[in-house]
Amino acid sequence: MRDDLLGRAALTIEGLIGLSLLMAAAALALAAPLLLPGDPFDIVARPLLRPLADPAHLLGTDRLGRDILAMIVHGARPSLMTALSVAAVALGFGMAAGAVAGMLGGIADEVIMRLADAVQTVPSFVVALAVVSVLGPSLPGLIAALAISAWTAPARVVRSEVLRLRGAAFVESSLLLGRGRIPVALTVVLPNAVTVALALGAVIVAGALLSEAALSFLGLGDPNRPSWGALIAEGRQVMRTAPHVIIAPGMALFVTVLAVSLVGEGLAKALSKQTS
Amino acid sequence: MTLHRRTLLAGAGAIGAAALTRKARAQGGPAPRTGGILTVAADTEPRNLNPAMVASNGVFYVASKVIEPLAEMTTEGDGLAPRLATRWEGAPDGRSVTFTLREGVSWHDGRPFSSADVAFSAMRLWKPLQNLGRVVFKSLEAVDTPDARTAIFRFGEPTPFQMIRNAVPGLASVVPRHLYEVGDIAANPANTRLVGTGPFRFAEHRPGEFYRLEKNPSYWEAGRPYLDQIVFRVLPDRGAIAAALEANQIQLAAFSAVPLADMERLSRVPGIAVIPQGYDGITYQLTVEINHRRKELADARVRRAIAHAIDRKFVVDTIFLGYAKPSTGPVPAFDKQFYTPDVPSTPFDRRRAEALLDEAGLPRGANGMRFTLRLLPAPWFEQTRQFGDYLRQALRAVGIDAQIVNNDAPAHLRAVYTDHAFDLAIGSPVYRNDPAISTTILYESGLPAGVPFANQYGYASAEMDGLIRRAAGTIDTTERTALYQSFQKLAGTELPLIHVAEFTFITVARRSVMNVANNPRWATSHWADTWLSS
Repeated sequence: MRDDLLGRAALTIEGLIGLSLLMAAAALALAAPLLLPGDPFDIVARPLLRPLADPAHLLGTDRLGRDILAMIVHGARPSLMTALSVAAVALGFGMAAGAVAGMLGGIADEVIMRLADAVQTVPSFVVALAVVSVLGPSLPGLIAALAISAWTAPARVVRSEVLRLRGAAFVESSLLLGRGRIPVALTVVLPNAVTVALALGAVIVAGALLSEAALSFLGLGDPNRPSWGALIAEGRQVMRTAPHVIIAPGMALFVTVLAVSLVGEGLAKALSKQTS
Repeated sequence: MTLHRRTLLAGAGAIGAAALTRKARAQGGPAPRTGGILTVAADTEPRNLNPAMVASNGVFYVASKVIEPLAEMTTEGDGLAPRLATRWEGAPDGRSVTFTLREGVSWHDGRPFSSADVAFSAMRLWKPLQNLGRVVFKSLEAVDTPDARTAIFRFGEPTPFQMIRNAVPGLASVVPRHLYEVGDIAANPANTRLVGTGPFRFAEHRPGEFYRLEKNPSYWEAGRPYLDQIVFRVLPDRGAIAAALEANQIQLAAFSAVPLADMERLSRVPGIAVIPQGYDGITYQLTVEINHRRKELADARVRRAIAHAIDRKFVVDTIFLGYAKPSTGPVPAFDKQFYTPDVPSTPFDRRRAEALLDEAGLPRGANGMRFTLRLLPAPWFEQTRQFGDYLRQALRAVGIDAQIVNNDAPAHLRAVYTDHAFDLAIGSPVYRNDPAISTTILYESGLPAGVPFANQYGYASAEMDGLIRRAAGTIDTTERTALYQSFQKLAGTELPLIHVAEFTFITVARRSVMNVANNPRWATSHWADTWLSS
């Protein structure tokens, strides 16, 4: 039943639009080196060229004369990479933590859930800012910074699912066969609790996309890779004179976050149909 | 006015403010109006606002209205207009300079101003504490005060009067002895609540909001200042500054606080003027700082190749939108005293750059790159960051893979000037009208790590050090000028750092603000003659 959840989500109108947009973005990001070969930072034309003024530079150029389309398309790679990695790390760690906490109960539960409480009391963006300031702007550092705060939500959801399933007959029988509680939690209970957490994945991806852009906007991204947040920061300087420099990456970010949210919406709908 | 009666010997020349007002009237300009509040944009709030200790433009911008120097720069006459001093004369042997001080001046707290204040400021602040004064007043041994109106500076080594004159507007701000003589000068409350002799009194500072200055009714120049108040509104966001100007919430933004890209649009807004004058005395230079400890960069051919890879015209036209000039060396062309164009040049020539790199034994590798280096653009200006982006691409074009490292201001200072953890950095030193003040320090060797805006580049040349030492002790103006011209030539030959462009700033103001930009340090001068038309 878990397998066709995504399929059923895609059948909702939100899911369909979201998935198509997301796949288009991913395809663009993957094909970036083929579509727009060369260094996206190359100075290729007159500065602040308007969009459509030159067919070779559809979205115009920035203040140095760098192609905005090339920077957006190449910039999609680190943005999506970061967001998906954050979601993967946060979901993986969060679900495992939730399953163990729910299954073991007692001290283990207390420790894990109080740790989650502690993490949730600090605003996630502040944590990310601090971690990136210390580790410097690198991709693994950024992923770690954003995942640190994101794992608590899946942990809570999975824990409550596990608490519900703990007394179920198939769990009891696995335990009676003499397997340990942690292996049972991870291999028997977790797969049945996973669908609920998956819908959360979309929320985490969308949040990570925005946080990544915000960090780059503040100059804490990797300056040697194009990034939407850095482009928006650059565009802000000339917002009144050349609005296209900020609108184009802003739209890219908006559409991608929207697509992810729509997929999440579709998943949630499919899930509620399944449970009802 | 006492000014008009006084004959000025050394300071003979126009008396900036008064002369300009007369000129305006002669040209049929309107008579100045008294009153009004001028609100201007400020983007920083320096922790220490005392210009006698911190000689920097961010401090001067606010403090210069409250605390006055001995003299101010002017474009007319011999280049100096009297402020607290009315006469200055250097002894032929370079061992003393005599300042005659203005009469009838009092501090904002009512106490009289005298030569004791000048002596105290010089010996206790400028020489031991001030960033630039430490260099210029290095050999100042004593300040004699035979009477309340005379201060005689005595130097242990022959010190060029030319340099002292050039240093006075920026380095010689006078603070009241009676407030500073007790306790730790660095912790004195008057460093943030300024007390001076200037046309405006310090009224209040609300952190994050504004500084407010109010008219000094007992200013020494009768009838000045014209304005009732000056409010410096703290507006760190550049976009907000442009909008506030258009809405007439502020009347003036100095130091290019408005993004250059907005200038053309703003210049067409009725009631707003874009004024590129008034900054010649504070010329900044865009430089590539080079770490000579890196073996590739210790080779002059590689440094020359980097210089040839930079298209200065592109930098001036695109990054500075024409509001800059290409540099030829460490002295900007504005300086008529010292500048020489007769130096080895490095025109934009990628083929030449590649040839030099090949010759230096650095061929392109499998990935097309010759070597990789760290590039640290200073965060001071929009343009230093943008030039970093440009330089990265310009170097890639000749096969040097430059990786940008962005830092905030304290981390940048530490990385470049203390830890030497850089290969190339983008700097923006200020040229202060005499190479001895803040320029030769970029070339002389033997400075301890941690001295900022100085040669932390690992560059040491006996010839360069000798030349700098000789020029510093030369009294004769002609000979001294010739030595600094040789210095420029040697700087061009050895190329320890690369000067790319020289730039000043732009003021954007409502047309109702009068007498803007009428001296070469206008934004950091006293604004006693600034007025608002209704």
